[in-house]
Amino acid sequence: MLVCHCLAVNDREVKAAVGQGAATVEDVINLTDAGALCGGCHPSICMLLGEHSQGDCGGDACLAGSRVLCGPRSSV
Amino acid sequence: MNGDPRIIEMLNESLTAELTAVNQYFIASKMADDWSYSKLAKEYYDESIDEMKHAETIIDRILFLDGVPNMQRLFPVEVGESLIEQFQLNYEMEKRAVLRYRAGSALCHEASDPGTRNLLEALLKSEEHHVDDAEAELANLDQIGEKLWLAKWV
Repeated sequence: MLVCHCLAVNDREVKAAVGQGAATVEDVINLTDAGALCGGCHPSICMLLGEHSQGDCGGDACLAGSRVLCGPRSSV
Repeated sequence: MNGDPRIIEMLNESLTAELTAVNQYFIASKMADDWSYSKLAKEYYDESIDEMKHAETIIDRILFLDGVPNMQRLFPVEVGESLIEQFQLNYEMEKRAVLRYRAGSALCHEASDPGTRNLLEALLKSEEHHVDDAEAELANLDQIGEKLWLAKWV
């Protein structure tokens, strides 16, 4: 599955980065480039980080402290 | 007519999901067409249009309830890198839609809003159909194997 549509990075590459110790969205950006441009995939990256997530994607669930079922930030 | 804010919020979340589905089916259709699977491309194209019509009914209902339809929010658009991966991702999306409409229907019951519940139940039936069709196809894939399954969509 394509995770980062801007730079064409797939879920396998992001999972490999997590396997190498990535624990934040920033780490994944540094290791794979995924999420470096528009940021629209940060919630998807956060979901792939799973229990490793530091809750930094900016999505609603992250902001509420849940790192499992993340989603996009409401535009309220 | 003034609607319950919980109902408007739930409808807006459903709208986000429908707009996401429009895009996910549309890109799946275009990629399938690019890979010469024209029959599946046509199916996905029609489903994308169906989801747009669902979005339309939700927008109409939000406006009727004096809410503001949120047109600028999307869930992650999950683009598979192969026909089979796309099919599975679309199936997962439809299953989430069924759960969302079931929960929405229960909320309508709680908020005494049968008008919105009728609308959601019509959408729910359509999504249940999509799930059922996808499950039949995935069983078919399991029985006849990848190559034969892919061949029928060329």
